[in-house]
Amino acid sequence: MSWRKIHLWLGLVVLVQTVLWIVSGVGFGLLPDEETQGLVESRRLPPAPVAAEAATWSAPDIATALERRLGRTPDIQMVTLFTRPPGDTPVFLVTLRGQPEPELIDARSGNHLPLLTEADAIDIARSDFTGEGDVTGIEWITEPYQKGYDYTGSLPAYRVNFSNNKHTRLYVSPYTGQILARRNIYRTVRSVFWTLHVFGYLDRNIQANAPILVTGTISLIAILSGALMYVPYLRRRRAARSALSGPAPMLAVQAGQE
Amino acid sequence: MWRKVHFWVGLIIFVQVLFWIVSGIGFSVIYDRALGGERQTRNLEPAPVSVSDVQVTADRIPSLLRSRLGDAAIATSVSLQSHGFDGRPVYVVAMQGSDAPAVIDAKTGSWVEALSAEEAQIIAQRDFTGDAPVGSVEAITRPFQKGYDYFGQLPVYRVNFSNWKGTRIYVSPHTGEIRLRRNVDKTMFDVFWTLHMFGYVDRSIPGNVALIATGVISMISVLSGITMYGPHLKRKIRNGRSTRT
Repeated sequence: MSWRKIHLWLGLVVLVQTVLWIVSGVGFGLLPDEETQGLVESRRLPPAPVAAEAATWSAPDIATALERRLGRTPDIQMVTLFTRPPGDTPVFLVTLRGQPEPELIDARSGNHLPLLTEADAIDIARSDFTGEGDVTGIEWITEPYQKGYDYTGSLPAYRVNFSNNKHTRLYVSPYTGQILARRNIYRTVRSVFWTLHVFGYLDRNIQANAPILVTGTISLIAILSGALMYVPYLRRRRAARSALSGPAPMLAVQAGQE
Repeated sequence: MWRKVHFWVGLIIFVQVLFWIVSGIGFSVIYDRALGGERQTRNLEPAPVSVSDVQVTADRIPSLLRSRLGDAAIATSVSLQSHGFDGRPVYVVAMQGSDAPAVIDAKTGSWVEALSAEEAQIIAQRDFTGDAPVGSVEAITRPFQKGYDYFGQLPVYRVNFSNWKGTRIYVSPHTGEIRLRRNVDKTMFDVFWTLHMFGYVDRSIPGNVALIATGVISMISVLSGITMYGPHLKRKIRNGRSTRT
């Protein structure tokens, strides 16, 4: 089996994936950054100032209220005061050890606050979006990869979908009202490229991804065989050049003189 | 002609294609280890807030900020948490137009200054479970100062340990929290990343001219290889037909 045949047959085996790798790789380079991040049709508002003067509740008050509500002494890791849209409510977001969901407390009254509603999330998304079109629907995202590679941030989240030609969708935190991610068709294209580039349709993990390892190894052999295929050709060229150049001129003269 | 195109174009991009394949395989071998960070650490959760020590209520924060920074200081969030160095409760105040937060002692209301390099070293040593001593402490103030190793908030201290794995722990100078833990696995990952994305030419991927140009040239190489094979395939089919008839 010659290097030529190895190069040919292995090259054919990995041809389709090689083309996908090249097309998606170049695609990553061509996608415009701001569009892919969804920043072009966003007001990009800075975080709102927090009305800390209105936050009359103290940390011990919060701990007592939580103890009453939860029926146990809470291990408070962090209390964050911020302004929650819509309506600019000053809110304490309390992170407790051993509890994945944070607690939300009205900083003025100490009352427990529920998650933002779908209507709240839509209002927040509309206030950020500057494109043409309106909200077509809202979804509740609770699972990783529920929308493929579109969103891999904190869960749960609202996904607010718009009717513009870029298919913009904004992911909104139900706890803080923060816009967690802005996505559109550019991101969809990027996700398609990513899926093709890393065999995402077979295995979402990159670590020990068998298709990547196998196809990569075959590609390596294909390219090395292409290089090795060139070696006998190089040797033949050198031999041909030596044959054409003949014996050295000085020796020819000496032979003639004899 | 296609044979020559395939040969010469393939020769031009041979080294980069080799880099692409080797680094691509490399990603799949070390991805989780590299991004998961150093495991010889205690990786402790931040200590719970000592609520009973909190004497300063959040509504006093604006006046404390104004007295130190003037009327221009506008807080966008106030976080009560334990300081990573000594566990005392502190308010970490994010402000409009400022990357660095203000840190206020939640018991006394006094300003908490940024940690020194020695204090950052103590925090890192507390976390690291290996035997190696600290080799150096660096102040990281610029993006890409350490290549692709750290992308988080700046400034940050980088505490380097003298072990063979090159462990380094990144510590916030404002809150004493440990931001990242890295070692040689991440270094390898970054080498692969640099080779894969032409990071030695341009750190961005969007609009990376080297990436796009080499990709296009590679496509010419692949297509010329396929086209080169066309006549050979035709001959095989023709010979196959003539053998049958």
